[in-house]
Amino acid sequence: MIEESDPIVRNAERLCETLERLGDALVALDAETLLETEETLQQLLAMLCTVKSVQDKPALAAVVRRSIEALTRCRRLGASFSAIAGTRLRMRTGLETYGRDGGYVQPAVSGSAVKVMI
Amino acid sequence: MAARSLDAQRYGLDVAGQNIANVNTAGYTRRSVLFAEVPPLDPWSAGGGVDVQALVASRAPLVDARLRFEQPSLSREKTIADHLAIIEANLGKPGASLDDALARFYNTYAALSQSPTSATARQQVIIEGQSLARSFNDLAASFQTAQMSADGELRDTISQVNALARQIADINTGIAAVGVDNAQGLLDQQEQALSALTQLADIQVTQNNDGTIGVSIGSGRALVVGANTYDLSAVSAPPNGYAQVYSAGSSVSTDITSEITGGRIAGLVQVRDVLIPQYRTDLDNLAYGVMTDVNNLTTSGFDLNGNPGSNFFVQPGSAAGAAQTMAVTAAVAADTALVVASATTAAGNNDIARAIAALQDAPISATSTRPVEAWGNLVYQVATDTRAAAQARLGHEQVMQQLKNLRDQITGVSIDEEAAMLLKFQRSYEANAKFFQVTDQTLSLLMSLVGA
Repeated sequence: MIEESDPIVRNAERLCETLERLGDALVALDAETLLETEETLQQLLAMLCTVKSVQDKPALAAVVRRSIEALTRCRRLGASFSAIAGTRLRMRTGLETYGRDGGYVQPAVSGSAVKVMI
Repeated sequence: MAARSLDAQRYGLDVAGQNIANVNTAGYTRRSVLFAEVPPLDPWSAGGGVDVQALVASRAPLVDARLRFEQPSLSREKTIADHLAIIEANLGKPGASLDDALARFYNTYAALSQSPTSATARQQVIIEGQSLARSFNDLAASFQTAQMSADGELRDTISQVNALARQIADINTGIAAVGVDNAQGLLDQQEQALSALTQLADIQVTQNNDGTIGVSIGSGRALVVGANTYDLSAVSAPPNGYAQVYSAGSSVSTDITSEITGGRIAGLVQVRDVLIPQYRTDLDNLAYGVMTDVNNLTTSGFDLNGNPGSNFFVQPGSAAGAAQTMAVTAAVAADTALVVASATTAAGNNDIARAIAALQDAPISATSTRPVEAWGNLVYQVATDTRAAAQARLGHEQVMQQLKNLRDQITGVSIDEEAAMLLKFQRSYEANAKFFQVTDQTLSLLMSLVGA
């Protein structure tokens, strides 16, 4: 009989895999994958943020450590892309894409600026 | 009109052919032809056909600049990881390295305690003592060799920096002579030389309007200004004669070793001046501790002839260099009777032999670690440093790959296409990034559940 793994560990593993996939997409500049990971992230976080206890602590600890590394990688790659994209877009379109607080600014599309529907 | 138009189209085909021919040429940037309509000369004319307006290379200066920023960090970590991997291999495998030599040495004293007067057992103690000393000597020598190898590589790297600086200065001369609009090939070479230079050190690049560049290193020390170069030099410095990097890019030749924080130079300096010295200190402390503890016991006992015991190992004055000079004293090595096993003048007593054998499981004096543990800690430290450098290298490699992908996607496309691609990807990333804060909190929550 195959022993069922802890569902919390399973979800944490899925979260980790999603973050690793997100990192790979950031390297490959694959927007389609990014759109897929957004929904998965949302669902997994909704499940995991209400957890009260866990059975397989060593397994969860290993997965969480891997996830932290994957999240750090995503942040680093995201920051690298945003630094270039923000400057290029300002140069190319005159649009400000990041405010002074570092947050995303919805570009005001007008005149000859490019409008993109996602 | 027809002839001019045909010439223009043929030129376009030539450029396409040039692009295909150079697909594998390092540093080559794809060219494209900008065509322009020749306007009609009078209101009744359909127009003058088409003519070539310009030949443009598909460059992405911003991305290239970002790549130049990232490359030195990647190169630094790669250098550290490569050198530490060799050092790690030299440490040997668990159970077949210094740990084994230590165990065998202490075990021969355990055997001697069984038969304190046995000449064979005494000879075995000397043999294993000499073997242990050789193990320490070899490890110290391998650390020193690694330091000297890093130093030699540093000197070579400084020469390479100077060669690249001269190359960039020559390219500047060429660009100034033909004008930036006619210097696409030279601009490719310029970018390639800069890319190679950023692998060696972190540099600052100043772009001039005429296409030439200025390059500085360290805290703004000039390396290339127009057609002139200001060479770096390797100056041997005390106490060990290792090279320091000096720059001629200011009024007085200045030591800029500590100002270079990226590239192979920074990696080599880190390995040579920080990491290996730390490992050598740990190894010396271990050797000093082992020798001192053994000698303290042997000098408190008596040899087989009933005379007061002498040092088993040549006692060093301090820990510095202890591993490199570790040796069994010549007198003991020449006479098995001088091996101390007894705490009394009685030949059959084995108290000292038993006490030395017990050192294996006791903390080294003035520390809380056993000899084998101290060795394990050193091996662990090297492995941790190697892994950290390899991981940092991987992180930088991924950012570099991302930038190269970005450069491929945004060069040679229209402004509209580029902006659309950037916006789409940026929005997709932002859609995920808004969850990063929650992800952080969730991972902290899970960590608290596992008690980590």
